[in-house]
Amino acid sequence: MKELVILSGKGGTGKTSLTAAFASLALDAVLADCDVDAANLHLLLRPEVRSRQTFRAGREARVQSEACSGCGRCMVACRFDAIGMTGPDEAAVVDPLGCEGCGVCGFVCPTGAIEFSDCVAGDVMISDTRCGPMVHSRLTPGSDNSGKLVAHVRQAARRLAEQRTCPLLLIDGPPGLACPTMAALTGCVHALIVIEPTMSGLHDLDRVLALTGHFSVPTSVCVNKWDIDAERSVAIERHVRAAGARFAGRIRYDRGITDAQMRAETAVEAGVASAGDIRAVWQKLAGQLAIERVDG
Amino acid sequence: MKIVFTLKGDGRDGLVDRRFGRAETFLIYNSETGDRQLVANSGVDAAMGAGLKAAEAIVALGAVALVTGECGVKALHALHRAGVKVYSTDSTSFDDALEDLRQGNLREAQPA
Amino acid sequence: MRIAIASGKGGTGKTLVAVNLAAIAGRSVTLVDCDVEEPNDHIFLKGDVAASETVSMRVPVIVESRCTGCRACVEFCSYNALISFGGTPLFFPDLCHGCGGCRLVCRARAISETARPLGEIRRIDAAQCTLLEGRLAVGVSSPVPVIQAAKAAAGGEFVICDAPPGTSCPLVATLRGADYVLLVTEPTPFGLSDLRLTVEVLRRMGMAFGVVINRAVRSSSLIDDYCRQEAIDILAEIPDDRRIAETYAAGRLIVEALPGYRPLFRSILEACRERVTA
Repeated sequence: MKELVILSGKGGTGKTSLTAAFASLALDAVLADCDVDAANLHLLLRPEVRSRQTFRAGREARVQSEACSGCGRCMVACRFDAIGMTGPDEAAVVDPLGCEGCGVCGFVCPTGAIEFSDCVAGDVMISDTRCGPMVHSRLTPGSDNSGKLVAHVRQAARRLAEQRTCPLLLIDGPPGLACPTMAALTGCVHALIVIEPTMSGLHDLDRVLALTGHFSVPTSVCVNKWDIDAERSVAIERHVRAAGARFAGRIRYDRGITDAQMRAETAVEAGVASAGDIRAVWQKLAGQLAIERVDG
Repeated sequence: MKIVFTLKGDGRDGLVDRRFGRAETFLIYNSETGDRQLVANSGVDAAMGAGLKAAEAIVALGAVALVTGECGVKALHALHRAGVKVYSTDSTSFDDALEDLRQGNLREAQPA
Repeated sequence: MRIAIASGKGGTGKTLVAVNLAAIAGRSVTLVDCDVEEPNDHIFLKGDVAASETVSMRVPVIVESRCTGCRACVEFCSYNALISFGGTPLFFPDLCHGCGGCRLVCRARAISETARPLGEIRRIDAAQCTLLEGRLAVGVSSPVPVIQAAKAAAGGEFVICDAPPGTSCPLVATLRGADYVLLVTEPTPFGLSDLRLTVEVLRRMGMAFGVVINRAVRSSSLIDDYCRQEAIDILAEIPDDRRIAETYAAGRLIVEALPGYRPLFRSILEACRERVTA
C-alpha cells in the first residue's frame, strides 16, 4: 500500500481541490484529510459518516473555587498569563484559551484546588464517499494543533487501507512545516507540492523541499494557476529540476474550479477547463507510483 | 544484544512500520537467544515529541540498535547520544529486515 | 484602535486586506505581521529594517554535577522536552513551552534557566506606514510568544494585526485585545466552512467582528445568506478581478497599482472606526 501526500507550504494554493480531483481519478484509494485545522476535503467528497471517535489532546487546568484560598501563587507562577483572581471571593480563575496545560499552577497550589482534565480537541470520523473510504476530522476551534490529530487520522486511514487491501492512501496534507506536516509526511512514498507562481510561493517551495528531503520522500511539484504569472511559472519549473525534484506539470487559473466546488463536484467530475491539466499531473504521479490509473 | 524493530499494528503480522515515534509496536529481538518480545508503544499518542518518548522507551528496554524506516531529527540525535545505532530499512517484513541487518545491507542513519 | 484581520484558511486575502488597509491609513498606523511562521507583509510594504529585537523564552539548563537522576523533571514535563536514559536528562528546546515547571519540581536545585531565542521582531519603515514583523526562528514549534512580543511592541493609537491562518492557538493569541476583527472570506463552500469555524472562535472570545468578502461574484450569495442568518455585518466586497490577483502575485499594493480601489479600502477603515467608536 502506497501513501501519497499532497502538500503546499502555505494554504490557499488549491491543494485540497486538487486532492479531491485526484481522488475521483484514482481507481482504488483510501482518502485521509490530514489538513485538520479548518478541513475542507469533506465539502467536495460529501462523506457519509460510519463511525466517530472523540479526540483528546492537551490538558486544561481548572480551579475549584471552594478550595481556593486566594493566595495568588498560581497567578504569579503562570507564565502564560492564563490565571486571574476574578473568581468568587477573589478565587483564581483559569482562562481556558490561554491555558497550556503545563501543570505549574497545580504544583504550586498549597490547597490542591487545581484539577486537570484532558481537553476534547475534536472528532475523528471514518466515512464512505463516492471516491472511496475517507478518514477525516473536526478540530475544535481554538484548540492546540499539534501532530497528534494528524497522526490519529493517518493511523485510522492506514488501518482502513490495509483492511480493504487498497493500493493507495491519498493524503490531503496540512499547510506549514511543523509537527502536523511531519506527521502527514513520514513514511509516504511520494509527496506532491502544490504552489502558485507568486513571490511567496517560491520561498515556501524551498522550505517544503527541505522538509521532504529530510524525510527522504521523493517529491514532485506542480504549479497551480500558472498563468497568473507565466514567467515565474517557468522559473519555478527550472528551480524544481535544479533542486532535484520532479516537475509534475502545471494547471491553469480556472474559475470553473469554484463553480465545481459550489456543486460539491471535483474539477474532474465537473469537466472544467483545467480538468485536462489536472489529469496530466495525475498521470505523471500515478506513473511515478506505478499504480493503476483511471481515464474516465 | 537487543535490537528494536518498529512494527505495525500489534506486531503479530510481522510487518515493518516505517515510523519510529508513531510506530504502534516495538519488537525487541535478542540476537544471542533469538528471543522476540512485542511491546506496545505507549508514547504513540504524544502531541509532540513522540520520537523522543520512543527513544527513551527503547533505551529503557535495553536496545543498542534500532531498525526502522525513518526517524525524526531530534529522536535520531537522542539515540545517538544514548549510544543506540539507528538503521534504515526498506523491507516490509520483520523477517526480511532482520536478514538485511544480518547481511550488513542496512544503511546506518547519522545525525546531521 | 486595534483591529485584527483574520480568515480561517490561508489564501483568502487576509494579507491583501491588511497591507492595503495599512497603506491607505498611512503614517498613523502600525501594521503588525503576526503570521510569524511565514510573514509576507514585507513583500508589499517595502523598506529598510530600522530595528530588530530578539524574542526569547526562558528554558532550563541542567547542571549535571547536581543532578541526581531522579527524573522528577522528566515526569513533570507535559511536552516531552526532557528525556532520560538513566543519567542527566537530555533537553530538547524545540518542544519546550517555557513553563518553568521542571525548575520548580527539581529537588536537587540542578536546574537554572537561560534565554532561548524564538525569533525576532523587525521594525520596517515602509514608505506607506510602519510595519512590525514577527518572524519565528526555524525549528521553534510554538509561534505564540513571538506573536505576543510583536503585538506588545506596537505603540501608537492605531494598530492593525495581520493574523496567521487557521483557527487554533496562534489565531487566538493574535486576536486577544483587539477592538474589532475583520474576517476575510470568499464566496465558496470552502470559504463559508472556514468562516463558520472562525466565527465560533470569535464568539467564544466575545469579540466584535465583521466580514469582508474577497473575490466576490454576483452569482454567489453564500456568504451574504450566512451573514444575514447570523446577523453578522458585511463591511465590503472586493470583486473577483483578475488584475487584483496578478497585482498581488507580483508583490504590489492594490491601492497603488489599481487606484480605483482606494475608496473601497478607505470605506472599510471608516466602517471599522464607526463600529469601534459606537
